[in-house]
Amino acid sequence: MRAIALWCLTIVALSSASLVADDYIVLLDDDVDFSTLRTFTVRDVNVTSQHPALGSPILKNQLRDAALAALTERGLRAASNQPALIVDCSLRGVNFTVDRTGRPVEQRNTRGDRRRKPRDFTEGTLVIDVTRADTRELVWRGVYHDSEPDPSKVAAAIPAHAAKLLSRFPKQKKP
Amino acid sequence: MIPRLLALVGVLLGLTAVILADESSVQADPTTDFSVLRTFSFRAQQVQSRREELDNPLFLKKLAAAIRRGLIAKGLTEARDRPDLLVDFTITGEDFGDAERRLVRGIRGGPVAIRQPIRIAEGTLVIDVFKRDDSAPIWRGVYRDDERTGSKLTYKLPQDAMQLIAKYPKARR
Repeated sequence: MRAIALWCLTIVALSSASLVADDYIVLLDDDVDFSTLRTFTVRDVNVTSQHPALGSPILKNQLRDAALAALTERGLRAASNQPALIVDCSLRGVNFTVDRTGRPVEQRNTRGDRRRKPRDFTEGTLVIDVTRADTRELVWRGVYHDSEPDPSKVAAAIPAHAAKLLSRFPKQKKP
Repeated sequence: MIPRLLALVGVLLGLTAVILADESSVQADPTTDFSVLRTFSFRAQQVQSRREELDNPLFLKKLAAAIRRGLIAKGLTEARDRPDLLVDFTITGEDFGDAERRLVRGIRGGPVAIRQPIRIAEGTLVIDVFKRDDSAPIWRGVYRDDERTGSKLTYKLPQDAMQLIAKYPKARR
């Protein structure tokens, strides 16, 4: 009995291993001298998801706070008047179904469709863009993909993902 | 024992692992003397992808830098004014789902195949080199790269571009 339980656990763990994997990347402009850009403002938090946990205004505020805290920790100063950098965050949630052949298939917007299959996992994509206020050029971008069977788990982890991405932002030296 | 072994061999033969193989090809106009074409400039740079890590100017800049390094290593010089060659490049990104079959130990100790859903990020890079006044390219390099994650694809594509440019004919000094 114990062997069967262990075996079932192994199968479940292996089959869901690829769905719960995180993936992130940070891109920055190597030609920009980040040490001269010391102030920032978090402008926009844009969410595209049908799930109430991902589209929640509370999550938007948490994301904004996480970005503020992470950039302050990197030595930058929040400024509402003439900031050097503008930070925009966007969050997208996409649901996937695993079909009979085992392949994940993106669910289209089929609300009310009786043939719609239940969701197997949700991929949340967080994008943080940092733009120079004077030239309007993108100088830094962080992208974080998180796939979980439960979209609420994706939502709960988003502020931590934002902090992780922004911990890679070039650190300011103390003047 | 023998039926068990046969079953194991059957399962192994039946398994088709997902192969994430890269593909590349290079075509060059045989009538063109590449050795006399010594200067180049970038023209069109395009990304067609839903992936945010690919569809942004920072990634395009990294890719252009890799191509530039490769061409300079071939003896060419970047020139803004009346270059001999114009370089265009396009990235087309696509995501698709697949299932990977894996063998796990069954309850009775024998192998059992399970299907594991995976996602694949595919990027196709096309580099075209034109003579300044021509509409048809004299050189084309195509690289298709499949990776398990978007971050790997983003890291790999500039290296792929370098590999393609390494096959470009050398310019005469």
